[in-house]
Amino acid sequence: MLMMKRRQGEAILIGDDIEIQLAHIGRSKVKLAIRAPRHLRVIAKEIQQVRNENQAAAELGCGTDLEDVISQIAAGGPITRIAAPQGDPRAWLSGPEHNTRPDPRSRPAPPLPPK
Amino acid sequence: MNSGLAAQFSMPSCQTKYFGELSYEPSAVIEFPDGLPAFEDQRRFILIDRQDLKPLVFMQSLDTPGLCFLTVPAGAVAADFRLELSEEITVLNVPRKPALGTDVVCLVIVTLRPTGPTANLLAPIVIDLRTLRAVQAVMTDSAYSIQHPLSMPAMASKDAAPEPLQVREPVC
Repeated sequence: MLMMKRRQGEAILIGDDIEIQLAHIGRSKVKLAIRAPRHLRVIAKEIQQVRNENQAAAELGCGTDLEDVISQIAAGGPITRIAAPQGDPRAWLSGPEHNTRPDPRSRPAPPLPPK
Repeated sequence: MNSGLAAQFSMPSCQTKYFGELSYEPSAVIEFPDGLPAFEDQRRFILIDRQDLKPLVFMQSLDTPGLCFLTVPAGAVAADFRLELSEEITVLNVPRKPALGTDVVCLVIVTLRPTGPTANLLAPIVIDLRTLRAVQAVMTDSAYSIQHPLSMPAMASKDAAPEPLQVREPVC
């Protein structure tokens, strides 16, 4: 890997189109100013990890413990809530009786089968 | 579901990955102005939960019926979870250390793997409760794992459904 020493305000060039300037040196971080063609994606490296993780998460449920649960969900059962997280959000994420629009046709969820 | 109710309140509806067609309140839509990493064009989601599957929260895309992230509140995974937002995040109008449950709702995305489910504590979904704008916030300075192991085998057993992740207060 190529290593270069640069002072604050100095820059490097990659090819003709990419310029990276060391804009500011802080105590524990440096700020980089990057000029690159628009078609090149410039992201922090950890964002690439998040991209990969999100893609893996989107391909949900292949042979794991939750697969049965997912199929249960697909089979139906009342949705307790599909409302905005308004009011007391703590209740929104903890109490099923809050923020629920009563549905006269709702029925108790079918019990999950034993594994 | 609720086609009668949907007509009564003239609520919009959407196709979902797991729940068929659902009607929803327009005020329930979460907006990601920048999308999510790898899903930059997915801007609008709704959150769905069901009592027998708590603490799971399904984050369903309104743009793509087949896209639904499985999430749990960060506090359900790590009781002492601390959220600190990078100053580069401008989508949310909240303090850099927002109060969970008051300023924001914080959800972590679950990935199902052959080796078991993991949660992405490194990059939680943070929803501004006042504006319902949201971002997936990468906490680069934190020691949280992008693949934090979850043990949820109890989810498949009917008796243990209410306590799979031991939700504690605060849950967000």
